[in-house]
Amino acid sequence: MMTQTRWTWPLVLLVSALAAGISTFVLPGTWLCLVLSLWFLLVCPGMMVVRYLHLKEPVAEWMLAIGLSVAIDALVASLALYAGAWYPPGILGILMALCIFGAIAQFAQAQQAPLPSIGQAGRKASSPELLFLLLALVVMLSGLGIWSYNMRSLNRTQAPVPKAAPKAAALDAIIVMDNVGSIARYDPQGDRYKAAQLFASMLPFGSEVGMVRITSTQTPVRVLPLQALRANSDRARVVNTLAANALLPVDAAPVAYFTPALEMAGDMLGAKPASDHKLIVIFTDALAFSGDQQACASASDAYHLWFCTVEGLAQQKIAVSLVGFAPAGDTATLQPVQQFFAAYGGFTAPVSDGPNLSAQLTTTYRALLGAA
Amino acid sequence: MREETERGFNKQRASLTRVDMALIALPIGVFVFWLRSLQGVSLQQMNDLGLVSVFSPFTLLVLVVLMVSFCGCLQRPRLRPLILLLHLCLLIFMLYGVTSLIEEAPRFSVLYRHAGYTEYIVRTGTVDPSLDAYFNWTGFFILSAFVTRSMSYPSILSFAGWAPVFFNLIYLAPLHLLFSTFTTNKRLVWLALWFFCLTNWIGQDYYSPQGLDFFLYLVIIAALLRWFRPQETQVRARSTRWDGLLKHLPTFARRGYYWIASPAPGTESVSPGLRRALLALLLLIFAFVVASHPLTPFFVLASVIALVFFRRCAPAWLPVVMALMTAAWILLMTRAFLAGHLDWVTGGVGHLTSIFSENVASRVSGSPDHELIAQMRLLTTAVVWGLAFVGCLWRIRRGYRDVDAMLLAIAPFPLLVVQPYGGEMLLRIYLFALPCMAFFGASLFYNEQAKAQAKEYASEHAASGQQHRQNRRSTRLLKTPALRLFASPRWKAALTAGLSILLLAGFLFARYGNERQDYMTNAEVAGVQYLYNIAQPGAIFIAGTDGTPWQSQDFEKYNLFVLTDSLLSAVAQGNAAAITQFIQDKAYTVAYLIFTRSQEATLEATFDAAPGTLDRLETALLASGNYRLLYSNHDARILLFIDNTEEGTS
Repeated sequence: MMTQTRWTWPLVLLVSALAAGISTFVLPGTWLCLVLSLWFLLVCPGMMVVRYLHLKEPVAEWMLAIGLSVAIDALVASLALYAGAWYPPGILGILMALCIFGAIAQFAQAQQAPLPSIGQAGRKASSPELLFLLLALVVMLSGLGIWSYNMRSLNRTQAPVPKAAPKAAALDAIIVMDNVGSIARYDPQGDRYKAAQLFASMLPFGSEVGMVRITSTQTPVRVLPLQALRANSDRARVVNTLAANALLPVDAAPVAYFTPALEMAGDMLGAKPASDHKLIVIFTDALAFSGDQQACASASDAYHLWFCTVEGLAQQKIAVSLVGFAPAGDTATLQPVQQFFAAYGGFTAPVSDGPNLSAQLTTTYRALLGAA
Repeated sequence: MREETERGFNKQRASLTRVDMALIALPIGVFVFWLRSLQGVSLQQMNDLGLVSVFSPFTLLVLVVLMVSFCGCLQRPRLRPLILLLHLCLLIFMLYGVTSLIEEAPRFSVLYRHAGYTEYIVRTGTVDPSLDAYFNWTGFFILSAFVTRSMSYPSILSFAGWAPVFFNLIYLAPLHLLFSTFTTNKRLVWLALWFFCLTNWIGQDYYSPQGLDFFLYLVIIAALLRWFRPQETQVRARSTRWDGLLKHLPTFARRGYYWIASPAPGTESVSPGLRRALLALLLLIFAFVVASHPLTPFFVLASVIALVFFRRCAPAWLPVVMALMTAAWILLMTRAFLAGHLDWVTGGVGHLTSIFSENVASRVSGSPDHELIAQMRLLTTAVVWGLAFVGCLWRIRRGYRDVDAMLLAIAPFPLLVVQPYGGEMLLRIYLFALPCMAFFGASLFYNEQAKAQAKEYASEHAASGQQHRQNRRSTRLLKTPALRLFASPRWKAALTAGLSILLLAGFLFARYGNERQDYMTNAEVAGVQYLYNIAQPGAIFIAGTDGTPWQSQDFEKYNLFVLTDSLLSAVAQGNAAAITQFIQDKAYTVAYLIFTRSQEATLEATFDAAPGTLDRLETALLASGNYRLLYSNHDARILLFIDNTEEGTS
């Protein structure tokens, strides 16, 4: 009975450490992971130490175990952070190692020595083991502390942490907006205009932005010539223009002509200095079908002959990206376009109508503008 | 001996009576009915009286039944700790977890800022002391970031709402140990725990450094009183050294000092090895407290200084080491904060008028209901402290010498003179004094063991004539008819239940009186989330007033302003021009204004603004042509500032 009691906690500590490690690395984000991690982090490191004190008072043991666990967890994590070595799985690994080491030592102690007695002189700790443990703890933590302090000083001199993320560089951008045929089915609420507004609102100051509308004829519409964004009022004008265009009815004709619109956009950007970053963003539906007739070897089918125009623009150092509206969960329709853009190096963002539009696109735009 | 104890325990477990079974079933039944009663709660109906205004009478009734059940259980001839613990755990869940059950999103806007600190550390793996004060006391948030990442959660918001339940549950262990050092009467210990849970209304137990540090404070103090009491021989040795100095004091002061500093009865001896080990561990815990929160170390220090000075615990050098640790952290790690806030830190010292104004007077303002809540808080505080005062006096008259508890109850108060802490110091003092106040309040009902304790003490200190006089007096007091009546279990159960119900009423009003401002809806959080999705780094966010669930991400990337901090009248009057001027003066590239439901509630309650103030302000702003509505749902609207002037900022 006595032996069982003395073996219980070391066993619990050992199993808890292993279970927490396994659940964190194998089952991240699950309830099991939550329960095991919390149990391990809040109880085990402290209990590992408290067991050496032989307090024999469950309330006091639990109280100290939780308090100490918190302190030890925070200490190890803080040392890692100030040392510039912030890596939570590594910190967890250190704590697991501490617990496993402590548990094994307790196993060894349980086999060798009898429990210390509680005599008239009062409670007695097993002094040699305890002192060794404390000494080891102090030496380890002091060493880590000195190391982390030095690392922190080094980090400060070498790599000051930026206060804010660097802003994206200014660029010249043309929005090519599809307003023909199947777009009415894929984007019935006209969210492509909101997507374009969001894009315009995220362009850095100093950029220039224009807009071309795809039509059902060979003649696209230049809705907005390149407009410099120097102040909020400039940005507001662009956003308002896009909002006004959103009121236009969709052209019901079945054929949309992408190539002329892309060529017009290319011409607008061609007038800008060669050193500028240039970008065309097409807002269309998942099909991205056009009625263009020019032969194009890169096209996957007769509806995507405009791919060759994109290649031509790339040679002029104009990047082309595409925001394609598809029903939620539909990943197949946009696939030909995605494959082409993936090979060519452009960006394709499948989105769907609804309240999450901005959430879907913000990250994409940030990446797009950052890359530009 | 161990076997005897186990046999006794098994026998006790086997002999559960029907009444005991009923006292197990009753709180569980209460809990089930309470859960069901919450289904009808509609937060939209809430007024400035807070959560109580939307509770059904049935919800309150089942809570009253729980009070009666606990107090009845406490008076049973055989004490059942597990049944009492069941009551306590359910009480904590019902009082502190109720908001997580009925509200859509985690409550309290500050919690979102704490989520932001954590998110910053998770994302960057660093802290930037120049960003915010809490990045100078980083311990808690580094721990938070580590735990959040270890559990693979995206944010603390997934679990932080349950922090009050968690914290109050873990407070029980050190409180139990602490109260057990004050008294050997287990019923008194349990009633003090119960009273603590019913009076901890100040709400510092949300996911915060001070919530966790209060637990560590209790651990340190309980451990010091449990294992670090000086032995009588040590005290006498030191007394002879002090006698030379003390004889210069007036007689009453000398007697007072001896009364306080004489050793506690039944002090248990602990081996030096264990003491050294425990001391090292307590200092490790204190190191975390020092690194986590600017205020808690001073509360620990105040209590430890009081205990050491009056020889209630050892070693004498402990406060010095603690003070050095605190000073070292402040001088080495918080320079960035001190450089800009030294005046704030030291400016309040001794300014009693401003301290009173910030801590009390300025809080009793706003709408009539809000004023009533503030007054209820003051009244609840006065009742708790008044009960404690009477309980303390009564125990002194009955021969008890609860010096430890008295010192711990008084020790936090001097800090009020040092720092108003943004008007929150009195709240913190209330919290740190609360364990002992709860103990003294509970002691009104349980002090019949004075005779036994006095006898025990008298046998140990037969030489002391003063103690003999005290013992005689306490024995005399027990014979009075009033006390005999009061000692009857039925009366005690009735009185404790009555007081518990009174304290429960105070708790519900005091803790959740501002709930209309504090609770958050999913729509509000979605609005803020939208703002973070569309805003470029460097933009400014402007809220109508406090109470916005923002800063939970990208803490360093946006600058935040609150209009009521400097433009209260412009907000109240819908003065769009003043707000436009305010934004233009900031000279930032992009400005977003966000108005939410909780802001509107705060304006109405705290500033006594007319309902719909923010709606009118929004209309005025849109009419000015300088703003455009970007986003709107039923609880949040976002406006983009458009600078139409030619010299618009860029």
